[in-house]
Amino acid sequence: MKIKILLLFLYFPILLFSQSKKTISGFVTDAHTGESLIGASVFDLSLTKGITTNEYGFYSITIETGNRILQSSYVGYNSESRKLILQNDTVINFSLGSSLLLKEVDIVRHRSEVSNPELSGLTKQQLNLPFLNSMPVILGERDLLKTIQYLPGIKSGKENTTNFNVRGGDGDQNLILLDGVPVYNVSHLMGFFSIFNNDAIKHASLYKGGIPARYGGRLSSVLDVAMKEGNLKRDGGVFSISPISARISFESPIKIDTSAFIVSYRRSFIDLPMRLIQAMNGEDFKYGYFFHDFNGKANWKLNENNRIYLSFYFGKDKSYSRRDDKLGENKWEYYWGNLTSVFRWNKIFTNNLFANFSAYYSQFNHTQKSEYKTNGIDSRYNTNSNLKDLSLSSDFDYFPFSNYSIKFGAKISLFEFSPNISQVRNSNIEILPEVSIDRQSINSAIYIENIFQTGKFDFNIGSRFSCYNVNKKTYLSLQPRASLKYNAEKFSTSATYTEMDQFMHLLSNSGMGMPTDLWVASTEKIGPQKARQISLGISSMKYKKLSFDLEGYYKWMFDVIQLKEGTMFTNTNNYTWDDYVVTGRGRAYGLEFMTQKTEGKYTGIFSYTLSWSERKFAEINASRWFPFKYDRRHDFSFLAEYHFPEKYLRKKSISIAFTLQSGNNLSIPDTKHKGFVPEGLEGGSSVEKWKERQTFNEPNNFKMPTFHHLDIGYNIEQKRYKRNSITWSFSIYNVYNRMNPWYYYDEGEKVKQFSMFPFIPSVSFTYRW
Amino acid sequence: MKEIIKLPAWFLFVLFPLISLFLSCRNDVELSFTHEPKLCLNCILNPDSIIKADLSLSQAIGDAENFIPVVGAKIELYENNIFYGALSDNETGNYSIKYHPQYGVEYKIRVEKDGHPTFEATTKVPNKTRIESTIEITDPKEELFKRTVDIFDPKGKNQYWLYSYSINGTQKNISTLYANLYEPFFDDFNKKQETESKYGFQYHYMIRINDDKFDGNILQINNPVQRKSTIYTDVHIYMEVDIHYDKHLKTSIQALMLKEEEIPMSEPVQIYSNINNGYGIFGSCVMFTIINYPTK
Repeated sequence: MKIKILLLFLYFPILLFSQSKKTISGFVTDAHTGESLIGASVFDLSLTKGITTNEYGFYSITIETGNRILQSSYVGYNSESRKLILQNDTVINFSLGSSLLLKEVDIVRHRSEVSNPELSGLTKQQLNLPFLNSMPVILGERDLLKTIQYLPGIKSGKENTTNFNVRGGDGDQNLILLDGVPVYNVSHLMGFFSIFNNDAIKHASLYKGGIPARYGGRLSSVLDVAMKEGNLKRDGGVFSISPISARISFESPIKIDTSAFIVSYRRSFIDLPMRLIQAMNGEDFKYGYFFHDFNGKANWKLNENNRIYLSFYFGKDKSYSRRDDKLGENKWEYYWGNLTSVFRWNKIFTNNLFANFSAYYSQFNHTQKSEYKTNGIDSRYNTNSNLKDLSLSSDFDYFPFSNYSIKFGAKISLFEFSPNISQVRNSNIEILPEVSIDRQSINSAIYIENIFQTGKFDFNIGSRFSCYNVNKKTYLSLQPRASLKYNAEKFSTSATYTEMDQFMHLLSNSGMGMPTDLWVASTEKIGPQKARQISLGISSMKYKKLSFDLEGYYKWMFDVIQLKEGTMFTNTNNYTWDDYVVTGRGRAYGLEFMTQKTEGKYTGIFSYTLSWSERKFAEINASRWFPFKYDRRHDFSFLAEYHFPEKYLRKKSISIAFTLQSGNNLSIPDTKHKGFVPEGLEGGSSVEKWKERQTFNEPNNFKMPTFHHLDIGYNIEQKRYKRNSITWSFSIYNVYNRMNPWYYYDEGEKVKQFSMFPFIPSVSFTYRW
Repeated sequence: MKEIIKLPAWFLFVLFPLISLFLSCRNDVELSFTHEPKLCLNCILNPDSIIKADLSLSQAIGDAENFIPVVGAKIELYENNIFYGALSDNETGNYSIKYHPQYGVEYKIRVEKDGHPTFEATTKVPNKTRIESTIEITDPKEELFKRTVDIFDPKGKNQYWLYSYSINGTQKNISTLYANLYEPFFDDFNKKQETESKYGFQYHYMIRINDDKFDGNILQINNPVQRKSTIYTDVHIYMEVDIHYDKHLKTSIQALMLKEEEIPMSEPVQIYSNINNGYGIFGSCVMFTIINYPTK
């Protein structure tokens, strides 16, 4: 009975009738670009009722008729107010101009100015890009995925890689969306750079807990990145160059205020000097590496109620070698990359019912080819791995009352996997790929969110129901979600409960974002991973421009997977990956603290996380709990920026970033003991190997030294004419040349530490027009 | 051909230019681990032999000393949970009792030593599985022969291992690579690509025979055609083991292979032990030995 009542409450909320109320709806956009503003507030000043815009800048508020003053505001923009006599349903669009006075920085938490007001600033972190663009970086490459690693509860995998772990979860437990499309491999250059081109990003949000029911499929977090839509007012662009790559973006209206497009392209050029040197030396052996990516997006307003978007992303890394000499010809190439494309249609059915329909395709592929010709022998070896995701989804936002709205929708995805398909051909053998080894699975989901905003209380209660089919096996999952926030005068408290499941798994030996890391989906043998998380937090309202957040969490994980002991996944060509993993449990808990200052000459964030993360598998460590490899007890980060007074259209700022974290864990043999020599092998040539065993008392027994580095950045932006500007950014990574270990390895009887990133100065140049 | 297929080669290829690009640094480091010596018991019951146990202390990985034997311990043996007797201490860390364990019987060992926690471990000696070996002389003139071994696997989970050595007079050579054998029930945990071998791969140290998908069937191992050697005596050992010894052997071989790996890209391996608060193994096995020569 209780369940029926709960379901009734979740899926069929009580509808209240009211008299003499009308609906005001419309969009909030940037006055200069026409870009929609996500999470902008629209507030009735007389009734003190408000709402925030959705992912497409749309709002709808139903309020009493009569004289009304409606105000829209958004961080970094001037507010705009409209007076009206509300008698009928009305459409009001706001175009907000950028504020010259406000210098808004990073993570915004003002209750009336964010989407998901029921979530604390630590549960959902909204990333603003100006801050990202002024932080010190390595080799001049700004990177969204590295900057978020400064936030509490987010741990970096290895130094300077894009892999990150949220609240004790694994790297594959983060859902990373680009315009609503899951991206499977988010890194270039073996994880050192992410695929996100900052010049094309409009908005990014990160959920660590209280994940709304509209999201699903990963246990630990959601990073929702929206690309720019294209400037509807005028053309413009950005050109940037760093020691690693160059990138260019261009956006322009196709028809002013109606349609626009944006394209951006980036290519690394570390292979170019290598090519030059090889050509100058007349070398027979040529090799190199490069990556490039392309983003494109266009949108059309068909009419007041219909708008369509088309987005496309393509990225590729390629490494190659070629030797051509008297001995023969030897060619090898290895490439991997993503392709995503999405078509979206925004439809306003009524002034309080907004819908978005999407169809998308996402693909990740990596291919290795080699060819060897000598003395009449022709040998070829190809291996290929493919993941395809074709999905259809519909999302509805219904705003029946000023303080109550519903989000609901459905999604169906078809996945196809072709992992590690090998083809070998030489004079002796020919092994062709089997036709039947492609695996298909279908995932479908429906969800509903009930969102109440009463002023004192904000809450979001919802649920997601998913069904996953693979061959003849079906996995069903009901995932309740709840977030509640109580707003007092000077502080707010929040609580969340989240259940998630995950049927996609990443098989990885390195945790580095290597191309060989293999995405696979649950099978009849290995089911979805599951997690439950609770969090409790308290946040202060701004006090002397400072805000404070404190939050605790506990996460239970079930059926998490890990490669079996001794498995080297890249060395197997067996597509039955589920023979190589074990499933077990995980638990993570901790406390996060963050204080930030977002206004004035000095801005910055200080954060600290105290956390634990452990795993338990029946087949490992005699079924005892052991620390997770990214179980970093303490994590302290500090980001700060000082803005010099602006002179002659020249802006200068200096920024520093410091992080200090407990080291990662490794399993290193620390114990040796006498070994049993199997009968018959005594006195033999290799018996010494059997006489001694080297092992460790528990996995991840060795904690790497404390990880820390200090970085400094200096930015000069010079405006030219009305629209143009040039920016020089100077950075020093690892100012005091801390040799943080990247990994350890044996060399003979010695253990060696490998450090990747010493003191590295860099400069980058950006031209905007 | 070898260079083309072996994956670590291209890993190196990609990795090393990047490493040099970032001006990376390598340093010798001394890892400091605090080690508390624990008891290590090695005792494998075999119905063909009397019971022997070896007791020593574990050491820190960098310790250059020989293993320290533990004398004066009280080691008791229980058969089907009934006390059978205590193993006698020969004061070199070796303990023994003149008794042959029985097929299919469960044994428990209890070890008491001052200053160390007392522990117990159990094993069930496998029943004697029927194993038959046949020889086909394929070319008498050239002295070529082919040996086939049939394991009549009984119902239930059973674990078998195969290893071999050859003897030339007093010199014993232990095989560490098996490149000419392949059957679908071989466990591939220690299989590595080797394109120049007959099947494109080889097994390291031993071959584990896994009856998971062939339970209750005849597991037939077909050795390649061989020529009789006048120099070496070739010995093949088929061994059925209990679950603890099986895990211990498997993880021991994995750890050996991992130590020999050039690239640290494999999952780490903790050597399995059924000794609580200690190391080593208390297990059991049944052995079947084949002298791999046809008799004239």
